[in-house]
Amino acid sequence: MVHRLQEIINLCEQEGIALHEYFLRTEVEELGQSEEDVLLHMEQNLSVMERAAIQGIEGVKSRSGMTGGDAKLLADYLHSGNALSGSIYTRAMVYATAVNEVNAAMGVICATPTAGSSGTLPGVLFAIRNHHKMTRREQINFLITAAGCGIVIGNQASISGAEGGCQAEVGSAAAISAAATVEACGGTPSQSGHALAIALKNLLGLSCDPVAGLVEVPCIKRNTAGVVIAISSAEMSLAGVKSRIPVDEVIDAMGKIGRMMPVALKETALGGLAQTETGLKMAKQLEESGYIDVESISVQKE
Amino acid sequence: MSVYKSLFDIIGPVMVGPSSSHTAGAVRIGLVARSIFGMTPEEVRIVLFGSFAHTYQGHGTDLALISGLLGLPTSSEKIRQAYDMAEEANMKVTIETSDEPTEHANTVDLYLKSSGGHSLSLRGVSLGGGTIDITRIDGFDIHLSGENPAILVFYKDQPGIITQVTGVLSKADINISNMEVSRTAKGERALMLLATDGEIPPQAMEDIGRISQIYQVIALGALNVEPDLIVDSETKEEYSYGPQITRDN
Repeated sequence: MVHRLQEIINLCEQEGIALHEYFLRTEVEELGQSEEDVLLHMEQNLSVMERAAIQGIEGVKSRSGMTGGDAKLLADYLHSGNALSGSIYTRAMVYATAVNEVNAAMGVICATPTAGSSGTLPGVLFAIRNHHKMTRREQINFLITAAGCGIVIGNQASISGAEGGCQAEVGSAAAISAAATVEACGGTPSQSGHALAIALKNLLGLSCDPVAGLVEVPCIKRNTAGVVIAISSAEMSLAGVKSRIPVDEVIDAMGKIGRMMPVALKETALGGLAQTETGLKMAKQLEESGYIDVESISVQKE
Repeated sequence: MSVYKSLFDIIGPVMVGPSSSHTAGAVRIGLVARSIFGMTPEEVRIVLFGSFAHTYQGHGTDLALISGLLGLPTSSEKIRQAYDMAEEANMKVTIETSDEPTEHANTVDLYLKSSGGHSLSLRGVSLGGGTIDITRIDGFDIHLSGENPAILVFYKDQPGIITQVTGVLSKADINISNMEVSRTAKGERALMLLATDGEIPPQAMEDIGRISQIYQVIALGALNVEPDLIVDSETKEEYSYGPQITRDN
């Protein structure tokens, strides 16, 4: 697969097929897999995401002690009926937090596209699937469209925090989720492209600066916020709003920003939040005792 | 240049969090070590370097390595209980960290021992995304990714051994995709690593074992890049290394 995303979008619109149909066909043709196997494999990955979400809502704690339990707080908040942002947004936040907390707690997750950004995509999918009463197959199609767009981003720019910062991880996750959401809601391939571009634009420049080098702070909350960017970008595109910068140029810009980004902001814990006063205290405590007691360090500063 | 080809490079792999390099990669280093050793070791000394040394507790790198040594896949939920499982399996584990500089940030040395003088030392490097490289086996510099089937041949360095080994593989219609030879000194103990396109049939292993001056032959299956089923502790063997045959002379 060497195409630019716009070429793929054009091809789909000429042939009158959906993005997921194109990406599934390509997987079958280029990798010699049967369609049945691809769908089965994707369904298994979907089940992994579901299990992680359920586990996270029940409440988990990471090994470092730094994170866990926020999905439960968000779920209780959702059920209280006081949520400001409505059921879909808050629901998506619950699921995204849950899955990424499970990742931090050494639970089983499906990388989407990475472990550090494994929450955003299932968060979006699980929130909209109820609302749109998506069938199992439609959910698998959602994953296929997201994956196909992710291949393009990965090859054209990056999906690795060490290479491109968090914009390459949560940025990519939100972008591919937005594109798949548009398709699931009946949008055209072009509209998926605009949604992807809008979502990615909103996360350009995001650094990867994990406290103590762990995939926890700020990763989990960025997954949570990623769903909001993804859904709002999809909404804009479905409403007819277009990205003024073409999608492939946005992806290229992300790649270039990643290369310009200093190493201190690319998963090394040498800059940003990792080097804040509290971030350093947490790292020191982990190094000395193998555990972070967030209460003792005072989380109010966060 | 396309690094990502499959949909499952993006939606996947299924793995235990939190980090593909510090957790999933560490499990795979343990799996390869177990496979070369051929059994559950009775004693394991783990020495961590670089980023592994600094962040192993938060990433569960120690749990991951132990789990791999016990034969668990990267997606096993039991990885969190690695210390308990090690105790059950009578595997004694010690963890050390070293600030000695290494070429790669995520490096680990493993020293395995079992009764009967069976021992193995190995250096593993986690390159990112779960990809690994075994760079040293019993003091021999080598590169083993675990992605393909391979055979390791320990022998006395002398002319003609390599030809005899490759001759057996040729007869068995096994294509060699990569080959490396490392020795301690001329005429001393040497290690030959042959990565192959297919699994090595038992008969070929027998034939290689019969070549004089060969001390030991170990066949390694390909590490499954990804489990094709959701993890279930009952079926864990499915994901660990493929069939393995060891022949000692």
